[in-house]
Amino acid sequence: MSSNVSRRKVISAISIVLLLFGVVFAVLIPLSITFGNKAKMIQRVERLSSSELFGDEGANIGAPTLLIIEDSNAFIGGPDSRNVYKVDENYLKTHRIYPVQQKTIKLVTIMLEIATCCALFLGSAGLWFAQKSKS
Amino acid sequence: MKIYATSLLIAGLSAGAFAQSRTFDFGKENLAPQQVITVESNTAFEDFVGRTNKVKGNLTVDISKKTGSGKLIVDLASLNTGIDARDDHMRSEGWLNVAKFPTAQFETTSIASKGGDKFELTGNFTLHGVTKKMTVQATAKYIAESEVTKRNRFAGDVVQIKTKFNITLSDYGVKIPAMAADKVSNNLIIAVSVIGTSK
Repeated sequence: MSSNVSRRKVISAISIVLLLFGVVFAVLIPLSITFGNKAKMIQRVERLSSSELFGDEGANIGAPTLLIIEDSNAFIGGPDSRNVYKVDENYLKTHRIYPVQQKTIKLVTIMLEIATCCALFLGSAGLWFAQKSKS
Repeated sequence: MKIYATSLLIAGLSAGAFAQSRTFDFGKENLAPQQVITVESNTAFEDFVGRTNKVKGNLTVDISKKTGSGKLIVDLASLNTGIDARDDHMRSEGWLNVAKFPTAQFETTSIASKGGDKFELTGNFTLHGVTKKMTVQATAKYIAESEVTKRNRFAGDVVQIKTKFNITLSDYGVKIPAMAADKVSNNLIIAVSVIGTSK
């Protein structure tokens, strides 16, 4: 009898913790989406001393990618006709800025959504089970 | 992953630009900061760019024939993706096997002018011990030795070669481990921006 009571209490406690996690995850989802929406299509460009000689801006580092860079000093002018922003690779290195990919934020958001659903479902199911056992 | 790289070659130059046959060296130490070789991987979950500036090779241009030949060799062991663990995996025996195949290279077999500074380069690309014929589009710009080149600390005439092309790793016997399949693409984009000098 007492072991059933203590098991019920443990299940209830775990369920409440899961529900709390579910609420926290749920709150983080819109924050993650908002952060991801800051992404701009960015072309990283490494300026070289030869760039001046050949009249170009330097060497592109990879293709344009949706990145989140909040330091406006890293940008080289405004967007081009394709709405692609150029960012100074040397500035990123010097200031140890590691741009976050929007792709990564989307993945995190999906994981948060799944975790929220799982936590809320398991928490609710646990509480229901604990209540049912009590009665 | 490691990837060493690639090679390239190049060539071409606008006809009137050269008054005679010239040979440009890409491997001089002082040119290293100017050399940018990148390898780009795009997957659903993650993109990354590996890069190196360790290249060797040369380009010989014949002006009257508007053609030339060249070779570019890239040190794959120096490829840096920004994550040490990923670099180590790339270098390992199961991937690029840098210990056995330390370089990638492109050696031209023909160079065709496409007008202006545009050229079509055909040659043999070797990666992971496998060589395949490849044709790439490139731009080549040439600047004769002058006060400007000297002021920028370049010795002799200067040539800049840029090209970009795709490779499929499995074509070269490189198999991506299943656990990394979502993070590393089998199709890579290789971009080359190199400077060569004649002295």
